[in-house]
Amino acid sequence: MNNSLERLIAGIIATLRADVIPNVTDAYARGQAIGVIDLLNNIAPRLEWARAPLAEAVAQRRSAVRAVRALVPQAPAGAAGLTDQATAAASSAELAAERDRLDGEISDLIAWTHGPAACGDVAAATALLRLHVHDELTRDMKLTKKPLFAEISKATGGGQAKSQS
Amino acid sequence: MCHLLTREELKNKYEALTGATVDPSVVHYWEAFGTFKLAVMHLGASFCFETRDFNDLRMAGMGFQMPRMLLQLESVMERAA
Repeated sequence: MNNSLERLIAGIIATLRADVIPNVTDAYARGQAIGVIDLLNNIAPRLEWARAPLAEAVAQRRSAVRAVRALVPQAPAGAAGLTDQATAAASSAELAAERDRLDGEISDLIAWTHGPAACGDVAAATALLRLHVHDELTRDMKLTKKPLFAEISKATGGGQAKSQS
Repeated sequence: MCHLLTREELKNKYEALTGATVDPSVVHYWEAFGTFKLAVMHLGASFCFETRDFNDLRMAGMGFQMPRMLLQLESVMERAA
C-alpha cells in the first residue's frame, strides 16, 4: 500500500517536530530542521504523485482486466470506472483512485476464478492474472529504493516505536 | 539468512544443536508462511501510519517495500509448492 502524499508529509513534519528537533542540540542544525518543516509546508500544496506512472498503472490494469474478461466472460462485472476521455483528463488523485478501483476489480476476479462459480477458460485467466500481478510488482520495483532499515536499526540500537498516546 | 550464515550452515547448526533432522520441504513451507506474515506486517504498518496517526516513519517506509515483499512471497511460495 502506498501512503497518501498528504499523510506522508504530515507524518514527516510531526516526526521532525516531536522526535527530532527537541533532541537536536546544535543550534544551526535545529534551525535547518525547522527549515525543512517550513519547506514541506510550502511544498505540500504544490505536490501530487507523478502522473505518468499512474497513467501507466491504470492502462496496464485495464488491459489485464479486458484480457481476463475475454477468457471468463461470465465473471461478475466490476464497478464502473473512468471513461477513456475522463482518464485522459484525470488528475493524479483521480488516476490513483481509478488504479485502486481496478485493483479491487482484479482482486474480485482472482477470488472468482478460485471459487465454485468459476467457468470458462479459468486456467488461462488465472495464469494471466498471476502474470499481471507479477509484472506490476516488477514495474513498481523500478521505483522502489533499497530500504534503509538496517541503517535505521543501527542508528537507534534496534529501538522500538514510541507508544502512541 | 539475513547474511548471517548460509542456508546450509543454518540447517547443519540446527540439526547439531537440536538433534532433529531438517526436511527441506518443511523448511520451504515455514519460509513461505513467515514471509507471508512479514508481508502482512508491512501492510499493517503502512495502514496504521495512514489511518491511526502513528508517525514512526519506519512504518511508512515499510509501505514502500510492499512490491519487494510480495515478489519475495511469490518466490518462496513457488519454492514451497
